[in-house]
Amino acid sequence: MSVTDPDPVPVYELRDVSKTYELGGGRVHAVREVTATIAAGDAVAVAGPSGSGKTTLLQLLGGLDRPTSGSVLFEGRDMSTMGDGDLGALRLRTFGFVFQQFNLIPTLTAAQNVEVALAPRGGRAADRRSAVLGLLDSVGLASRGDHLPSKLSGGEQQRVAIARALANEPHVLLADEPTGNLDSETGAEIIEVLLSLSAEGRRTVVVVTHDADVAARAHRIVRMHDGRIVPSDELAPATIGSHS
Amino acid sequence: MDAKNRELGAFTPGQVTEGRYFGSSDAREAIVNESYASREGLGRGDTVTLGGKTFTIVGIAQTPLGGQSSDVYVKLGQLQELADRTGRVNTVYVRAESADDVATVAAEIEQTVDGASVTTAEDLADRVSGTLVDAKNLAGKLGTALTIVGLLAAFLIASLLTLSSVTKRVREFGTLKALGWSQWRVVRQVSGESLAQGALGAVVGIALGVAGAALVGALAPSLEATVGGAVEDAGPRFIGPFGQGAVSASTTDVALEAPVGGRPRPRRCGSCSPGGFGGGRGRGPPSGTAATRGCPPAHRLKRGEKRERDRSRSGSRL
Repeated sequence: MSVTDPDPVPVYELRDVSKTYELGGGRVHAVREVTATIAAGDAVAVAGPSGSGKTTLLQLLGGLDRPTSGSVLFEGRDMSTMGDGDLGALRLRTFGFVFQQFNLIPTLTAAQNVEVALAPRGGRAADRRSAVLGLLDSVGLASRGDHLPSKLSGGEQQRVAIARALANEPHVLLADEPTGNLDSETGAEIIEVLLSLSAEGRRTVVVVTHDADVAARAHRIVRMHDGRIVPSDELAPATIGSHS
Repeated sequence: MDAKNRELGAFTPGQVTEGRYFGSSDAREAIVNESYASREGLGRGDTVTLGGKTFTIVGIAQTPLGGQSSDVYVKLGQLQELADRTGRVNTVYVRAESADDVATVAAEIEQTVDGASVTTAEDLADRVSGTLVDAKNLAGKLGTALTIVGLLAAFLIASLLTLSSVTKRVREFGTLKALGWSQWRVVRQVSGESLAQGALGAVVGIALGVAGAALVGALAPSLEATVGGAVEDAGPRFIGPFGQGAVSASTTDVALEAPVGGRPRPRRCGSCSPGGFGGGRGRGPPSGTAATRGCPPAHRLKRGEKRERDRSRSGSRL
C-alpha cells in the first residue's frame, strides 16, 4: 500500500493540528490534535463516518481554512501563517479541488467551466481554449465541451470538475467525496481516473470518502473518528503516507 | 333669449341638438339645457311651468363651455312680462367689428352704462388659459414625482435582485475561491455582471419608456378648453323671480366679443344693429332694446385655437 518516494521532504506535514468552530454558543472540535505527513505522489483515502472531521481536514490541507492551533506545512511552508493572497496563489497554482456536488457553474458550458480555472492566470484566449480542449480530452469529454452541465450525466460532470481541477497542473489533487453523487460503476471510473493521475505525474491525491470500496483502492487509508486519526494495522498512528 | 337676434346670445340655433330654436309666434316656448333635460327626463313636447305659466319645450340646447348656463331658456319678452320687469335685462352680448376695437368698446360701454361689468372673450380665455397652465404644471410636477419614485423603486428592486443573486451564488463564489480566484477578482466579476445587466436593463427600459411615453402621448387627451360665446357670468338665466340672475339696472353684464386678427372687414355686428342695442359701436344698450343674441364659440386654446383661427379666416367670428 505504499509508494516509493525518493523525496525525503513530505508534501504535507501536520503538527498537532486542531480546528474548532463556534456554533450556537457551543464549540465543535472538528479536528483534534492531528499529527501526520503525506508524501509526494501518494494517493491517500481519508475515511470515516459523517462528522468525523474528514472534510475539515481536507479544507486545512487545501488552504481553504486555517487551523485553530497547530501547523499545516506544505512543502515546508506553514500555511497557517500565510495571508489570503498567498493562500489564493497556492490554491491557484498548486492545488486542484474536486467536490461531491461537482460545483460546476450551471450557466457555463463544460469548456467554460474548465476555462474559469485558467482565467486568473491571464494569457491569450486562444491558448486557454486549446488547453481546455486538451484537458477535456484527457477525461474523455472532448466532444462535450459545448454542453451545459445540465446536459451532462453525473459522471460526465465530475469528469469536467476533474478537468477543471487539473487546469493549472496542480501538485496536489484534493477530492471531497468525489463519488458521493455517482452510482457505483461511475464512481469506480472516477476513482480510477483520480488514482491514475497520481500514478502518472507524481501528483499527490487525497480523497475523502466514507465508501469502503473507494478507500480500499487508495494507496493509504486514514480513518478518522471524532476529529482524531484512528490507528490501524495498515497505517502507523498519526501518519498518512509513507516514504519507504 | 332675444329670439329675433339668433346669432348672438347664450346659445345659437346651431347649438340646439334636438328640436328647434324659438319660433316667431307668440307661443310660450322653452328650450332646456341638455344636462337639465337629462336630469329631469324632459324631452321635446314636454312642458315646464314658470311663474304659473306653462311653456312647451321645443328644443334642447348644448350650452357652451365657459358660459354659465341656465336650465331653461324662454323668449325675452315673455320672461320680462312674467317677471314684471319689462324692458330690463341682466346680460347684453356685444360683438365688436374688430379685435382691435375690443378694449375701446369695452371702455366706452363701461363709461356709458352705469354699473356695467364688461367681460371680453379674451378675459375669459385668459382665465381658462391660466387654469390650463396650472393643470399642465400640476401634471408636470406629478410626472416628475412619479419619475423619482420609479427610479427609487427600480434602484431598490435592482439592489434586492443583486443581493438575492449573490446569496444564491455563494457556492459558486466558494468554488471560485477554491480555484484560486482572489476576493477582489470575485467582487470584480460580480460587479461587472451587475453593471452589464444594469446597462442592458437601462437600454431596454429607456426604449420601453420612450415607446410608452409616445403611446401615452398619442392616446391621452390633451388639456384643452373652449370658451363659448356665452361668457362666464354673462349668460341669461331665469330673469326675475324665476332665475338666479335677477335683473337689476345696476348689475348689467356686457359680454364683448370681436373677430381676432384685426381683419379689415368692418362689419356691423348683430348686437349693434337694430334689434340689438339699436345704436352704434360702443354705445350702451338703451333701456328696453337689449339684445341677448347667441354667438359662436369665441375662443379655443391649443388645438382649439388653430381651429378657431381657421374659422375666423373663413369668415366666422370669434
